[in-house]
Amino acid sequence: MKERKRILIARLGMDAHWRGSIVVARALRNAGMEVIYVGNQMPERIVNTAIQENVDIIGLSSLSGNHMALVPEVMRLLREEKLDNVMVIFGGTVPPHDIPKLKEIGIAEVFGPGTSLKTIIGFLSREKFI
Amino acid sequence: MKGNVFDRGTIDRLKEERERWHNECHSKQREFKESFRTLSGFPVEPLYTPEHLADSDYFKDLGFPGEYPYIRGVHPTMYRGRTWTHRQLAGFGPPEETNKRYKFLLEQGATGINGTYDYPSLRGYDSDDPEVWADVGRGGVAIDTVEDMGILFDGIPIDAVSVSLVSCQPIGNISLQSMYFANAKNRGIPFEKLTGTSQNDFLMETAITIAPGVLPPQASIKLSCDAIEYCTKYIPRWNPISFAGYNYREAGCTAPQEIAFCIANAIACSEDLIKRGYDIDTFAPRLSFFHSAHNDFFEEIAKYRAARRIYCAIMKERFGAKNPRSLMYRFHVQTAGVALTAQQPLNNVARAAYHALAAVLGGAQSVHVDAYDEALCTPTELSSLTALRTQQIIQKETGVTNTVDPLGGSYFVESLTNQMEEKVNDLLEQIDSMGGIVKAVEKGWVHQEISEAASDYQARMETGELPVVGVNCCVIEDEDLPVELFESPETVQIQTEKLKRIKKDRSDREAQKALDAVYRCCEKDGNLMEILVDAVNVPITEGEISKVLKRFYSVWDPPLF
Amino acid sequence: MYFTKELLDKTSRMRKKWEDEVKKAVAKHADLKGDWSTVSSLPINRLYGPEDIKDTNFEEDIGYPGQFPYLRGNQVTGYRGRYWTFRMFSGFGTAKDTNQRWHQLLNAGQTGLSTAFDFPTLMGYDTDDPKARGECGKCGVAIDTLEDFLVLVDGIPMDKITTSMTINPPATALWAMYCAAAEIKGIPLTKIGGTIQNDMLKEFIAQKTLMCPPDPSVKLISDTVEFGTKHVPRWNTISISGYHIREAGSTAVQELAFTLRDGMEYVEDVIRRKGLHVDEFGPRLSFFFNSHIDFFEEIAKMRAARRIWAKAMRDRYKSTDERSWWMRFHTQTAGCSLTAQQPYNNVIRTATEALAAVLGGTQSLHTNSLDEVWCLPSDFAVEIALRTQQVIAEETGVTNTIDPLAGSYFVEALTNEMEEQAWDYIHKIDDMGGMVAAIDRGFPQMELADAAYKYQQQVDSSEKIMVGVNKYVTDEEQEIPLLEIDDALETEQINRLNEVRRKRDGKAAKKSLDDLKNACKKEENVMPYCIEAVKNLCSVQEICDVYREVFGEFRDPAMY
Repeated sequence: MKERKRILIARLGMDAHWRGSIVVARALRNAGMEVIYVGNQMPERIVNTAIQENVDIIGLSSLSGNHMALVPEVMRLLREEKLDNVMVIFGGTVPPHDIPKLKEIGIAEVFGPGTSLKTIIGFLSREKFI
Repeated sequence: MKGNVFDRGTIDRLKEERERWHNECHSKQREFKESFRTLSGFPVEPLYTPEHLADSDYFKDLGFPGEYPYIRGVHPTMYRGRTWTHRQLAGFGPPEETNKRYKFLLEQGATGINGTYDYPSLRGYDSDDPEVWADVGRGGVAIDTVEDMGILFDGIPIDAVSVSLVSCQPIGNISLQSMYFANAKNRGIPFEKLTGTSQNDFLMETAITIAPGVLPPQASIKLSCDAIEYCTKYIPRWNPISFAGYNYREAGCTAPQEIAFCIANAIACSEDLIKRGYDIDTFAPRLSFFHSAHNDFFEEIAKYRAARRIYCAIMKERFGAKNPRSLMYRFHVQTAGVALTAQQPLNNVARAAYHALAAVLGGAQSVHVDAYDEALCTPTELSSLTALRTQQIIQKETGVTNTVDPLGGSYFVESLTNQMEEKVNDLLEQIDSMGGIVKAVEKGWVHQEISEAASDYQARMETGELPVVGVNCCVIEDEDLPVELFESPETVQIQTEKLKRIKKDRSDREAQKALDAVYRCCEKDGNLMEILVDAVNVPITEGEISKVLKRFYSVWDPPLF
Repeated sequence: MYFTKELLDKTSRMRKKWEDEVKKAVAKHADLKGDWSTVSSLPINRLYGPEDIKDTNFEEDIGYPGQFPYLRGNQVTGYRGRYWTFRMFSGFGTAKDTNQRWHQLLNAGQTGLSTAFDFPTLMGYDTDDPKARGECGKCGVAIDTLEDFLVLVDGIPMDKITTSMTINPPATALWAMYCAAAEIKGIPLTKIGGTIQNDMLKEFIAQKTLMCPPDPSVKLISDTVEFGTKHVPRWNTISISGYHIREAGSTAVQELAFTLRDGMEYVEDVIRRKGLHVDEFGPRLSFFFNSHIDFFEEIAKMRAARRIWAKAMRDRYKSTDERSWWMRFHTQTAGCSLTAQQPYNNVIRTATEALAAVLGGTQSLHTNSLDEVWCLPSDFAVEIALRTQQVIAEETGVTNTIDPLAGSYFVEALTNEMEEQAWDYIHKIDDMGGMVAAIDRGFPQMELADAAYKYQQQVDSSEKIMVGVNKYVTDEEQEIPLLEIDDALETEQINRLNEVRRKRDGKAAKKSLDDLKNACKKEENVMPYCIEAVKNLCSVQEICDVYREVFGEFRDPAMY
């Protein structure tokens, strides 16, 4: 049996909207992934948890608009810890002009409002996580 | 008094007739789907006739507006006598900026203020806290001290304009509300003149929008009731709580859950206040509600109508309320943010118009219409103006305010209202059997209910059973956004500098003394607002206050996922 | 018997008691204004209850969808089996421009086409007529000859898509082009479907696109009805229109009454002039209403319209075919309710008007675009308007059940009230000798002018509010992208026309016009001659000039 891949799902900073991240977490669990759901965290805690839990992928969620402040921090810390093999994806409300910026700093994919679970699962299985 | 609407003979005859119609005509035609359901899952029949209201008793079930069971409205004249309050949400960046937006909306004919706070302020953090810098000024205005509150309402006649503080979480509200009252005092405005609402809902802190380090449910509701008690004693025209069904719905609840959780919450607060020695009629007239207006037009109308009928029965029968105002379910509505799409954002103008119309046909006391760019950013001036115009067009042009409860009597609407009532009562019984809403939160039942409903909704969207124009149908590939996005100003710096100055200028001893007094008040289980309304003037900051609260009550990890 | 007797007894007593409460409430807190009435000034009560519809008989007055009196809709399944047609009115520039827009709309999910013609075409003139100067392609598409028409329908599956054409005096010519185009593409006339507006009575009453006097105008219409009945069975040869009556300033009741009485006039004329039985053509008559800003008044109007028409067809014209009893109608949201100020507000207005049309049970709907006040809609604006319909159909859930408002005391009472007032008008016009006679006396024109004048006074005095116009006015202008038509287009179109005239068989063209003239004189049906003429590349104006010559030109006496 193939080993189940591990994903860390975290909401960034103070963002209070949990519906999307919980719905995605459930869907990924049902799709066969090992989901570590940690709720709200600041970048340092996120990266520490990622190390402890030995995850393959990190899913960040935010609808509050803090993404340009916190995502670069997460990416910087990951590089510092030499976790270049961990893929990071992002879901939430992002103005279109921020998407290329996020991708430039290493976010593998950005899932905006209205994304279907199918799209997310499809992406992860193309990337061989599911 | 018995007042059967339709007589038995008529009903029996109609039943036969409808069966004939179904067999001869309807069953021979194909429909899009096997069965039709509302957004919250109630089955919908092809046709409604008087037989769906066979047991309807006019005086018991409908009656007259302004009278028990209030289903047709809480006032006898409804919108002929007063319009609902056009209360548009606003709040972003530092208080200086939000103050300008408030003034703009008032100049454009808004009749109330509805202020949102940034995430740190909602949760009791100061803007300079290392945990929160990324969220300062986002989603609302940043408030740290009473000075900020002064700036926020500078030049706004708070003795004449009704103000809603969207201070969802009791931990933040206890400070923010105290600062609001302190500011009024500093301006020399007597407490009797203040009108408004604070949100102050413990479910918001513990079950709906959860962040790390929240207070335990028991402590959170205690703070919430402190505010109710304080207003009952000193601020007679203030609604100290607004049960935030809107947010429950946004988090994924169904329509009946939205109502049931609100009412269960109101029951818990009422019991607490009664335990503190207050008669139900001293505080119940000031309990208020806050609801969503989601996509399903008639379901939403039925939801509001059912809520009025359920609530007055509970207040009267369970709590023995006598004052008619205690029996009235008064509510503010916000159009559903989750129903808006980032795709083709101007479609949201039409959506929000339907949401708002449902709220008005359902008898709301106050409405906020979402701006069309809300799924993308903080509203611009143009988008907030269009949202306000939606309310004005409904009120001034569409004629729907000409008569009270225009849908009363509709076979479909009345029967959906009955179905809604039944479902809500089932949920309320379940919550009662667990020992009330606080217990239900502690054991994670509420979280479970919401996340199941949210997943179910998502699943129905993915199968296309719930179409969303521009998202899973009528999609435009590679569209350019025709809207101008709002960029919020840099807030952290402004707020941090302010805090630095304030802390430098104050007496540290006085501040420490005040914070110690807060801790002692917790120990004595006293009403915190009694102290805070003065203490914030020392000044002490919101973050300092909530640190004390967390030290005393400790923090809770919600049983999520 | 509908309500129990004991309920009615008690409720009037209880209501008195409640009214005392109201008096007290009003004494403490006065009403916002004294007059509560619809946008058409129909008074509205503070509350409606069973006592307001106490004489209701469920089977006779309300009943079931798909059954007499059709109050609850023609379709047995309402919108559960089939949506209304999303039909966006479009047309601008040359035939090629409009054809491109059509393909775009069909790709975006529109299910029917609707054509706007430019002024010269609407009035029966060619682009090169001096009267047509500067108008080419401005408010709709310019069509001169069959050549243009073939470009217009290029790539459009005429056997699958229905097309509606807003055309009145020259309707015979344009319909002839549609028929000829279908024949050229090898599609039999029995397969094409659509609508021509072809309603001249409302032109005399309201819109004033006039060509010949009333009687020959009605005669040409009866020709198309007869021709359609015999040869183009899926075509609606007339769309009896209240839309323009309303836009010209009538009340909702007037729109209802004049439109239905117009319909009766056409029925009577076809029976009298053509000797057809009512059920031979009744099923193909269709209607076109306005959906104005007063939400419930519009819903009541549409429901009442169905009930009146069913009664008229069954009882007045002794129709026995149920399909003749159906009032099928297209609806357009009210252009006159839109404002040039703060154009985004128009999305909101159109949204509520569209919802009213759907709750009123329309078969087909056009939603106006937010920029319609200034110009032809831009792509951007049309898109939002179409999406508004899709949001109603897909998201709001109002299509889950049929006629969801039935039983509402208010809606039923208002429906009854409107029906009653409409019959009063209809009987009054009967007494004058019918609609043509009433128009001759200027009756509907004067009624309409009175209503329009009264409404304007109410707007001026802010008794009736238009947001952004007489309340909540802002100085700032909201900029929106506008569609502009290039004037060079006119020269191009004239060149094309000259080219067609040069290359066509001049003798054949002349002969077919002569044949048409003879047919007119002999009171024969003009349609076959028209089709022949357009095939020989005769232009719209050439055909209309024949009518003008034989029947005379009509000048509006301008009554007000």
